[in-house]
Amino acid sequence: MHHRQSYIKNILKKYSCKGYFIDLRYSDVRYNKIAFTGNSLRDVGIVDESGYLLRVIHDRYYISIKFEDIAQLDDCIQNSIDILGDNLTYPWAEFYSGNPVTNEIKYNSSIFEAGNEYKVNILNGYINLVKNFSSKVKCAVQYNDCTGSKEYFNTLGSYIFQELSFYTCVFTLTYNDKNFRNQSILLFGEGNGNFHKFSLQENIIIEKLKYLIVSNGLRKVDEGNYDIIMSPEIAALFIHETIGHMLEADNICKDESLRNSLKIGTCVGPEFLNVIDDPTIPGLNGSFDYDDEGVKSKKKYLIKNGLIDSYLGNIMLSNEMKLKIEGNARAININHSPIVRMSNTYIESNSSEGKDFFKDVKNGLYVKGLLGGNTNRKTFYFNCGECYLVKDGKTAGPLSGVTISGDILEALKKIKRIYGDFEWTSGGGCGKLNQNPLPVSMGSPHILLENIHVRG
Amino acid sequence: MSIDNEYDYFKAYYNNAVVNIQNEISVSEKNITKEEVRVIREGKIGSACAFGKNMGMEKLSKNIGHWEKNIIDFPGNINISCLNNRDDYLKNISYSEMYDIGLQLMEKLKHLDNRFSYELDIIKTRIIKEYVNSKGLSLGYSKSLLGVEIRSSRRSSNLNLKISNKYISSTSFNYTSLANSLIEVQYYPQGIVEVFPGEKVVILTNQALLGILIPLRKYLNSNNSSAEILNNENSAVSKKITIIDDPTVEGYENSYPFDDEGIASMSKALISDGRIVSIINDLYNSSRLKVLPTGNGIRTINNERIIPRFSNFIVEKGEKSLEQVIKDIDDGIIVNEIIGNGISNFSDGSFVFSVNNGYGIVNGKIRGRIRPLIIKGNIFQALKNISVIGDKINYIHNGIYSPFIVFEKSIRLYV
Repeated sequence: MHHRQSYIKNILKKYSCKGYFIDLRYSDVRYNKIAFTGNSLRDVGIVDESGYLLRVIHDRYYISIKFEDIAQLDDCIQNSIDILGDNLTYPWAEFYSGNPVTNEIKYNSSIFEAGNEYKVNILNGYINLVKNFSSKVKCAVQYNDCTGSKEYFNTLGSYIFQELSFYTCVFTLTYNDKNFRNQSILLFGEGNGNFHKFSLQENIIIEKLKYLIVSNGLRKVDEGNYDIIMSPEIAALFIHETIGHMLEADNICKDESLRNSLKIGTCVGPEFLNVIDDPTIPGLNGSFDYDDEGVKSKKKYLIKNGLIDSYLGNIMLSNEMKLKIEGNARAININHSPIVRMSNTYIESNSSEGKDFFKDVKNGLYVKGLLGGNTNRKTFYFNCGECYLVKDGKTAGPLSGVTISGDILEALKKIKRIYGDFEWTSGGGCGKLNQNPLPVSMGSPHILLENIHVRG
Repeated sequence: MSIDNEYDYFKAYYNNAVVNIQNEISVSEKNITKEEVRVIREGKIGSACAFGKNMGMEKLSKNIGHWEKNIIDFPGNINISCLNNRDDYLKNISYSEMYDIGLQLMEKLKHLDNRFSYELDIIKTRIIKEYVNSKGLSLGYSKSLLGVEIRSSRRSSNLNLKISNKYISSTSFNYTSLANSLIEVQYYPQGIVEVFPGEKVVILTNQALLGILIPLRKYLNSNNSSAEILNNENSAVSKKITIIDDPTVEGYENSYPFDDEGIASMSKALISDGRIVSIINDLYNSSRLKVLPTGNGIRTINNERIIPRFSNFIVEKGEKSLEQVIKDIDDGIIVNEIIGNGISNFSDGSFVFSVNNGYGIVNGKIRGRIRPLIIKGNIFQALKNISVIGDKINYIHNGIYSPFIVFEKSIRLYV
C-alpha cells in the first residue's frame, strides 16, 4: 500500500516542476443494489468498481484519462503532455495558491456492517405494510448504497484518503383502480456511514398510502393563479432547481446574460431569504470532507438576506472568475471528471414566523408530494402529487395533484413567508452533464408564495 | 469449470474519447472494463458484475447476492454475419485527427453564419465485447463510432438563442451537408410572436421528439410493459407511422451483430399498419412472457442490470418536406428543443414537457420565436392523431432516428 502511494507521489513530483497541474483520483467501492417491483424482490446486486482518473491541466486546456492499472500512470501523463505541448503561457503553478493537504477521513459505517439480508428484511417489512393496507397499491423500491474509499493525489504533494458510505432509497407507490391511477414517491437516504433512518419510514409510508386511497375521484383545481404553501420537500426541490443550479459558476461563466443578471450582491428575493450550501453537516447524502479536487468543504451562503452572496465553483473557475469559489467539485464516480455540484442545499428556517402555516391565507393551495419537475434556468415546472385547498386560514379538504410553473426570478420575489420549521429531503439524485444520480440533500421549512400559476 | 452446470459470462471494454473545441480545447478519455456473470443453480438464477477488477468468472460468481426463481435458456450456436463498422479505420484515429475534423466543421459553420458562436464535441467510442456460455457459445466483436455534437448560440440585445444538435456514425462525415442540417433552425425569423393556449397543430423535430418518443418507448419494452399493450384499445395508432428496432443497419449508433446475451441481431417492426405489433425483450423477459427473444438484451457501461434496451429505434420516413408542411398550416407551432426529456405518467399515458426552442406558424409561414410554454397530452391520443411524417431521418439521441412528426390537435399548449 505504502509502496503504491510513494510510487504515485514520485511520478507526480517528476512533473510538478514543469508547470503542469496534475491530479489523480483513485476509488475502490462496492455498490449494493436492492430492487423490488410489483411488491416482490427482484434483485440484490453487488457491483465492485475500481480505477484511476488522471487530469492534466495546462493553459486552460485539460486532458483527463481514466485507466485501470497504476503501471500506466507515467505513460498516460506523458501522452497527455505530448498532446498539450510544453509551450506554457498560463502555468498553473503560478496562480494555484493551494497548499498540500494530507488527511485521512474514516467513519464507523453502519451501512457496511448491516449486510444485505438485514436490508432486504426491513424493506420486506415495508412491502408487507403496503400489501396489508390495500390490495390496489403496488410498491416498487430502488435501494442503493455505496461503501469503500477514494484517494486523491496532486502535484502540490496532497494526499487525501476518504471513506465513502451512503445510501439512497426510492419508494414508488402506485394506486390502480378500474378508471383511476395515481402515484406517490417517497425518498430517503443518509451519508457518512449513518443508517438510523432506514428502519424508521413506516409512518411516512402510511401517510402516503392514505392520500393515495382518498385521491380517487378528487376534484381538479381550476387553472389560475393561487397563493401557495409549499411543503418542505417541494420548497427544497424548488430552491435546489432554481437558486442552486442558477448559481453554479460553470453556467454563469459561460453565459454573458447570466453574468450580468446574477452579479454578487444582486437582490433576488425578500430580506428574510437565506439559502445555504453546506457539505459539512454530518450524516446527509450530500456531505463530504474534501471535494474531488482535494479542497476542504465549507458552509457557504448562496443567498444572504435576499442578496446573492456567492457561487458554487471549482478551482479552475475560481481562477477564471477571480473569485474564491472552490470546494464544490464533485464527480459521480471514477469514470467522470469532477464538475460543479451542490451538496446539502437548504433554505434557512425563519424562527420569527412560527409554525402556523395557514394563518392569514384566505384562498390558497397547500402542495405536497413531489412527483417530478424541471427547469431551464429561466422557467420551472413541478408536478405535485398532493394538493389541499386552504380557506380562511384552514385546510379545506384534498384536491387532485397539480402542476406549478413560472419564471424563476419572478417566483423568488413572490416568497412572502418562510416559516419556523425545517425538514431535510434526502435520497434523491441530482443530474447534470450525464452524471446522474449524484447523492445530494435538500432542506427547507414550509414557505408561502403569492400568486403562482397552477394547473390541475 | 467447476462452478455450475449453466452460466454465461460477458466482458466488455469501452474506450471513449471526447475532444471539445470552444475557445480552448479539452480532451477526456475513458477506459472501462466491465464483467458480468449469470449462473443457474437449483432452478434459480443469480448475477454479479464488476468494473475494472478483472475478477474472472469464478471469483465474480461469489458476488451473487440474490437467487431468483427463474430459469433462462442460454443460446447455443448461432449463425452471425458480422457487421463492418469501419472499425479498422476509426480505432486508430488520433486526437489531432479528431481536432482537425472539428476545425474543418467549425470553418463550415462559421462560413454559413458567423453571427453564431459554436462549441463542438468530437466523440470517438470503441467497444470490444466477448460472450461465452456453458452451451459452448463463444462470440466477440468490436466496433468504433465517431460523433459530433454542436452547440450554437447567438446573442444580441433581445435575443438569446441556443441550439444543440448531434450526429453520430461509423462512416465518414460529409462536412457541408452535416453543417447545413445542424443549423437550419438559425434561419427562422427570431422576433417573438404571441401564441394563444389551446389545441394546435404541433410539429416536433430533432430533440423535441424525445418528449413523445421516450415515453412511447416505455410501452414498447417488456421490462415495463406486458403483451397486453398489443391487444388493448391503446394499440391502435395512426397508419402513417412505422417504427422499427433495427440493430442491423450499417453505420447507425447502436448496431451490433449479436446482443449481450449471444442472440443474433434482427430487425423488427414495433409499430406498423396502424397498430403496435411487437415489444422488445431480453432472455429474462422472453422466458417470463413465453415468447421468442428479440435480441435486445443490452448491458450498459453503467452498473445497471441487464434489461431489454432498444438498439436503433427508427421512425420510418414519410413523404413531405418541412417547407411543404408549414405551407399548409394556418395556426400551429414547430418545436425543436424541449427541456430535459419530458415527464410522463406511465399509468395513464399522459406526458408533459416545456418548450425551450420553438416557433409560431401562422398562415403557412414561420412568424418568429415563441415564449417558453408547456405542452401536455396523452401519448396514445397523440399517436392516433399524426397527420404527417417528414421525408428525412435525423439522428436525435442514443440510437433514436426520426424525421419530424406533425400532430393534429391532440396536444394542448399552456402559456
